[in-house]
Amino acid sequence: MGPRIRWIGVGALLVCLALGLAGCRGFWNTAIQLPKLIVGPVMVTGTEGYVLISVIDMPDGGIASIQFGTVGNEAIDFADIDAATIVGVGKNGFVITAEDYTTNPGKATLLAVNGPTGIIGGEILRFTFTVTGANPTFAVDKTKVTIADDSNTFITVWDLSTTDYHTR
Amino acid sequence: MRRGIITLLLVGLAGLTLSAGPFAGHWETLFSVDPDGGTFVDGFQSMLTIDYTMSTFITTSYSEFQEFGFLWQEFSAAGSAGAIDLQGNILFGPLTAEFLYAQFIAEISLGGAELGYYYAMLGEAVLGGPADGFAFRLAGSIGSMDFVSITELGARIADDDFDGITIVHTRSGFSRSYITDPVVPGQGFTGQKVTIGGLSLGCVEGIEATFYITCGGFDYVLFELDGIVTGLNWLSFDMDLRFEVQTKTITMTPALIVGEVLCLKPYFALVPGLPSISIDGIVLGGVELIYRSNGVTFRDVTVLDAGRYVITTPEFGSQLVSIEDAIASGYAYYVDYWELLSLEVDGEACCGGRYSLLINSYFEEGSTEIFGWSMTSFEGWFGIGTNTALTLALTVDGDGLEGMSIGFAFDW
Repeated sequence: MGPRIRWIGVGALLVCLALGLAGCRGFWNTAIQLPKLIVGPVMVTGTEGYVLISVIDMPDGGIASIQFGTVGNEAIDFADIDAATIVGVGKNGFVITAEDYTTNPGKATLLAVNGPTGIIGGEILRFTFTVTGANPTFAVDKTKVTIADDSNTFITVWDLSTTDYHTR
Repeated sequence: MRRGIITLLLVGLAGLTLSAGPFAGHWETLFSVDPDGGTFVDGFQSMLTIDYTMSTFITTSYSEFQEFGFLWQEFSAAGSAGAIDLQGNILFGPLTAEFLYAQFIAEISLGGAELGYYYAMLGEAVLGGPADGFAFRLAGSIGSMDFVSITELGARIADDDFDGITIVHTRSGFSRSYITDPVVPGQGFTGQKVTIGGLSLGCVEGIEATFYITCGGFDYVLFELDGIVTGLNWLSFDMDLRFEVQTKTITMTPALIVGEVLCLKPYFALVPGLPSISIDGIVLGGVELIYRSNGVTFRDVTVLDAGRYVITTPEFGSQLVSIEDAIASGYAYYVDYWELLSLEVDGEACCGGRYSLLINSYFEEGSTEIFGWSMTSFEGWFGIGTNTALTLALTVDGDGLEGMSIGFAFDW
């Protein structure tokens, strides 16, 4: 490595360092991210469809249980989906302990828990089903969802998101 | 905006395609067939990687297509300018015609010290964006002591305590991962992490201390003591001592030392008691038998403690791991299977190519099939020459052929 190249490299890094320390900051002041429950849009292949539910930035050891309403006060509304074909599967250690997709048409409720550990970010549930119409929907009512962390304490401050892309 | 991004994508692809020069590439395509479904072909994925070498730089275009469309388009470049190693990545989501992420890294080694500059930007189409920021990393050694300093100005970089950033397509769950994460609250100075390692005492193999402050003040200091000698030749433990503003956390991780394993590998684990610094017992979570001979590998994996251990999917090596480790490592795993019989054959195929076959049979509790058999998967890779390969995968369960996929891979 020639001395000139070496000094060019050192100079470039020092310039970057000086710019950074002098306050040549980024364009955006990134806001604090609230914990989020992310409900994906329905993914359809032929007559089969699925929906993924994920979380990010869950606090205090992560999410360890989640309840989507109760029978008669369901948190999930769906349309153009055959209720009899809905199969829910827990991901990343989550297990569905109670579920109901058929009592009230277009309504679903379930309870899922994670025994081994809390999940800070990642997929927690996947629902597969047969679609019956052109515009299948699977929506969650945030006000009817309760979430608890790894210490069995309710996580009360969180957002619901349906964006196309997220990070973890 | 979208028109501009599409134009940029097309110009980038056309530029890489039309430029004369030393190209190399890899194209891999897979079709999935559902024998019971209403549509014959129910899945499709295709990944195209094109490398173009210019002097000391390699520029790469990576395109990924799934059955629902054009999922990822990434352009990257890596190389060196003198003593400086440079790397850049830019990711687009063609499905929605959005810019998603960009990263630039410059690193240099000087007299045993490593200096690095990391910049990243997240597009507004991604939850948490728009965001940007950069970080500086300085690492080196003084005697046996190692130190790393990371100065964060709106971005964090992956290290032992932090995984970087993964961008996930919400609808499908497919993802791409990078080192530099700009989703850090604040603007300007956002954090400083100093790690000192390589220290040891007679009774502790490794000691590492990490001090981290953010723009909000002191965040934590962590002392990690690895391989603490207990005086028992079958037992050691690691200890993490973490201080935050109002809390102190001690994590003890005991480990059994079971010695060299030849072919029959037991998976012992210590059962923590309450309080967690006590040990209630030792459990044999599973047993793995491995036999290799002339390109043939036979494995038998038995799960003995189904509530604690699982078998990972073939994509993650069909390993016997604890559920906690599987989750922490991001492995997909089977919940119901308690036994895996696996046969893998690797050998020479036609015209200088190679072939490999993998047959996995799984058994589960409650199955009505013979011996509790539940599912068998077959994966074949057949090389035709050194540049082309055909792939075939089949899944069979008690109801018959459950799934099938065929594909090809081509290198040039």
